[in-house]
Order: sequence, then structure tokens, then C-alpha cells
Amino acid sequence: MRIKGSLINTAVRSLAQSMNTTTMVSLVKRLLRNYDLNERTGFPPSIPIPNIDAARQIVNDLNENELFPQFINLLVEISTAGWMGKKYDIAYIRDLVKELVEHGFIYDSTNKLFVEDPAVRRTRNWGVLREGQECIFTFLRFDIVGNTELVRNYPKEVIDATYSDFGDIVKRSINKRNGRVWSWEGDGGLIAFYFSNKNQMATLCAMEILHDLFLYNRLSCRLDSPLKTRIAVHSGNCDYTSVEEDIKKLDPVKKILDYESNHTAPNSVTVSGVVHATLDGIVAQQFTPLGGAAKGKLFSYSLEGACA
Amino acid sequence: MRIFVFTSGAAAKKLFSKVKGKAGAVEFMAPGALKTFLNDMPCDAIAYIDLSSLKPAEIPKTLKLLYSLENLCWGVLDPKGAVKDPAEIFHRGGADYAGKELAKAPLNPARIEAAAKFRNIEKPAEAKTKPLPSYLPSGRDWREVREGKEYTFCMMFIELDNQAAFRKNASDKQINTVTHTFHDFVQKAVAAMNGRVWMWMDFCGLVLIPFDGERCEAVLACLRMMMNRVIISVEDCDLGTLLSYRIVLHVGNTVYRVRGDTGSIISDSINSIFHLGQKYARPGQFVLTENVEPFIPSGVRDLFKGEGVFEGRMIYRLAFPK
Repeated sequence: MRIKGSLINTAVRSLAQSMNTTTMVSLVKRLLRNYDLNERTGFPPSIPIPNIDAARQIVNDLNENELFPQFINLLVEISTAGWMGKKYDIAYIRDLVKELVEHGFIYDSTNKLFVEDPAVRRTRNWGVLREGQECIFTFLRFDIVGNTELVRNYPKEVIDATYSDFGDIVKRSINKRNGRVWSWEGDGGLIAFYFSNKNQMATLCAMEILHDLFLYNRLSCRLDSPLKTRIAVHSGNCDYTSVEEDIKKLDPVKKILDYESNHTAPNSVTVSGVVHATLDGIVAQQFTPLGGAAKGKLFSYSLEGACA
Repeated sequence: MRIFVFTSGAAAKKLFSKVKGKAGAVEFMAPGALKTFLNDMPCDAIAYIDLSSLKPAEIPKTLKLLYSLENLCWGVLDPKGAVKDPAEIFHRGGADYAGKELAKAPLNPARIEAAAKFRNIEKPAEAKTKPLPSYLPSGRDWREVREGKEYTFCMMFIELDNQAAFRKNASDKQINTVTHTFHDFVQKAVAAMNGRVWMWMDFCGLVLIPFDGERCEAVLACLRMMMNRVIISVEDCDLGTLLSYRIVLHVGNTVYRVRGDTGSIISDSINSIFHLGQKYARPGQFVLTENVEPFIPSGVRDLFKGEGVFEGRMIYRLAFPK
């Protein structure tokens, strides 16, 4: 997102007072690889660019490219750890952080990144991921069991209301854990987690959805038989994309679709070995390894097994 | 008694033509307003639903809605005989059924009164004099609760299990961290239902939740706490161990005093819930008394099994299906 107002001016002053134009350009090239300050400002290479003009141009360009939070990350990083062996005392750094928080960002200490505050706004890229950026995501894939039969056997308004209730259960659980809906097909969907302890968050989210669905079926389900779901959780490396068609082609997404549709029993959660290995022991113990072709690769959880 | 009739036909209005004056006040409403009405239906009222005013496809849906109702009194008018098994109406919480034959002539007011009594709904005058035996409902929140006065509360006892292991293996500082974290979690968890931690002793506490005599939200909240034990252990408490706790729910009376000033209170209910929690309930169990049992939502009623009598009260224990 683009930032407006005094935060931009504070950033310009901070940059201008903290480093020379050569350092500024080196810094900005970490975010915009082919950045050419002379071309952007119109100053010929033979004329030195005043610090304040250089800083203003750089801050504005970063903001235009929706890289402002990442730029503040860099300033925080070099103010604490230095850069290329040199210490930098970044002016107004506390003010910048404070104002960024006021603009609806929070600091994710695991990834050392400013990300959007979920209490303020929720976008599918958490306000900071760039198209094509390589990231490790944890995915949660869910699907309503027997959708075709349900649609055939019940009036549309009953199905719409039931799926909407189920959607509320899913959203309530993912919103608590900063997950993002990447695709929603009515009877199924894909949720992405990127920040903090993402494998654990996605797994707990899946378990909670199963628990809430158990109570929903008993207390307010409109169908004659309980609504059932299959949920899978898997983590993997891929490039961020906002294009739904491209999401389906991502390797971890293809895998999670396979885990969910071919290895997950109704009303259970399946997690991949990659995810299971990183879970807190208390959570990992709730899962039992699957046999057959999935032996050692997949682990399963069901409410019946947990509460029996 | 207030009688609400959901109908779009004139025939149903004739059915209630004899109900006048002391026998009750009849209000006719459109069938479409039923669902909204039920959310705020007065507890001293009876609702009749005229099935002949509904489309055939809407009848099963409406009956399902009625079957899911808690502590509300309702009857069915079925002049076309759409219900194949009228007994099911009564098995699933209905108070009255007027079928093909009965719906030909106006209903006798005595019949409606009998239907209301069948589901324990009384006339307002009677309801005021004896709301529930010896209950002094404290309301839905704390606004009406005054110090030094006696009220009926929903009481929740919660205790961490494995105390001996904690005391043996953990330092005083670690025990302090565990008990404080658990206390803070309980405080946060009960706040959503207006509950307040009233007494706290290291590993256990007593929570008071205002009780209005009509519902007891704590049943579902405690059920969730038992189901989500793993999630709570990791996300809410994060003590590096899988927490095990027991919960007891009871509805009973006590004089209210502020937390910390409860030493002089003598209450059978408080004694009883502590005995239940510390002498009866076993690790990881959720039990409730017969006073709470009528307020268990019907959808989860089968999860609570009668366990026998303890100190004169029937006890029910949560048991998930295997």
C-alpha cells in the first residue's frame, strides 16, 4: 500500500540526514535493483544531487512501488546491525516506526518485517509481499465432503446458508492467526499463512475448524446429516502470486490438493511431514502417522481420536 | 399468558376466537417473522405455527427450527394433516398439536393452558410468585448485583490437574508462573460470558456468571474449553506442557461480596461445588449438576451422561462419542 502524509516527510528528512546520496542509492537498489537516481531526478551525472532532493525522490519512488514498509525494515536493520561494516545512526528512526504503526503496520519479529496489522486491514499479500517474491508459505486446504450430493438434495438457500455458516467458522479461525484466503470456491478453499510460527498456526486453525464444525453440526446445522470437511496442511517454497490460475500451478498447492483429496478422511486433518516436524510436541502428539503410500509423509488428526 | 400465532390464513384466527381476557392475549403474526421472533420470544409465551400457511418445502425446515429451541413453548396447527407422526412433535419439545379434526372448531382456552403447563410455562402472575424454586436470578450481567445480597449464579469450578507432579518437579517460581498464567487464561475465557473469577487458590478457582433463569451459556463455553485443550495449552497458556483441567458447573445461591471479601460467606452451593470439584470430578473431566442439566442445549445433551447422585444432587459428566 502507498503511504500518505507526514510519514513520507519524516522518511525524507531521516534519509537526507543519515547518509550521502551514494549510500542512499546502494540502499534503494536492495529493493529496486536497476534504480537510476539521475534518471529519476533529471540531474545529469556530472552535477551532484542535493541530499534532500535525492532522499525525496527515493522515498517517493519506493512509496509508488509500494515498498515503503520494506524500506523502513531496511532502515531499522542498518540502524541496529549496521551496513557493509559501517554503523549508521538513522535520524528519526523511532518516529518512523511509531508513525508506521499508526498507519496500521505491526512488526513481525520472526521474519523481521513490518506487516499490516490484521486488526486494521487484511490484504492477501499482508501488505508487503511483492508479485514473484520467493517465500515459504504454509497452506491450509479445506473441502466440504459430498458437495455434489448436498447441492442435489437440498434447496439452494439451505446450501447457501450452510456454506456461509461454514465460511464464518473458517474465517473466524484464520483471522485469529493472520491467515489469508487465497481462493474460495464455495465448497472449498485455500488459506495461506506466512508470518510467525506459520506451520503451527495453520495446524491449530485446522483443528479448531474441526471442533467448531462438530458443535455447529449439533447446534445449528440445517442439514439432516452432519456437514463434513477434509482439511490438509502443507508448507513449501514458491513465488508469491495474486493470480488465481497461477496459484493452482504452484508446487506446494498441487501437493496439498493431493493430500486433501486423496489422503484425508472426512472430518479429519492431514498434515505433511514437513509441517509435522516443526510442530510443538504437544500438537504433534495429537497426530497419528498414516499408513500405506503416505507412510512417514502424512499425519492425521480427528476429533474422535482426540476426545475419545 | 401471551399466545403468538404464526399464520397467513383466516381459519387459524377462528381457532383462537374463544381465547379472551384472563385466558390470554392472542397476537397473530406472519409466518416469515417466526425465526426473528424466536430470538426474543418471552419466556411466559406460547407460539403456535400454522403449517397450512407454509409451502410444503418449508414445513420440514420450520419443524427443524422448532425442534432446536431451548426452553421455549410452542405448538403446531396442522389443519391439512401434513405431519405424519404427531407424536414426534412432543418427543422433540413441542407442547401442543392441533391436527385435522381438532382444527375444525375453536380451541378451548383450557387446552392452551394445559399445553403451557405441560412445558412449565405459567401465567405471568404465577411466574412472578414462583419463578424457579428458591432461585434469585442475578440477571444477564452484573448491573443489578449488589454487595451483601443473595443471588442465584451459575458457578464454575476449574482446577489444574497433576498438582502433585507440579509441586514435586517445578520450582516455586515455575509454579507461580503456571498458576498465574492459568488464572489469567480463565479470567479471559470467562469474560466473554460476563463471568468473574471470584475466588482463586493456587491451582483452582471459582467463577461466578450472572444467571437469568433462562439460559446458561457456560455449558457450551466449558465444552469448548474441554475440546480445545491442546489449542489452549499452546496458544493461550504456552507453558510447554499439555494442560489437564477439570471443570464443574452448578447453578446455586450465594450472598455476593467482592473478590477478596468472601471469607465469611456460608453457602451450601459453594461448599457443594468445591466438594464436587475436589472430591468427585476426576482429572480432565467436565461435570455438571442437575441444576444445570435443564440448560444444556439439546444438540449436545447426549454428550452428558448421568453419573449418579453426589451430596443429594444428580451429576452429569461430559463424554465424547467414541
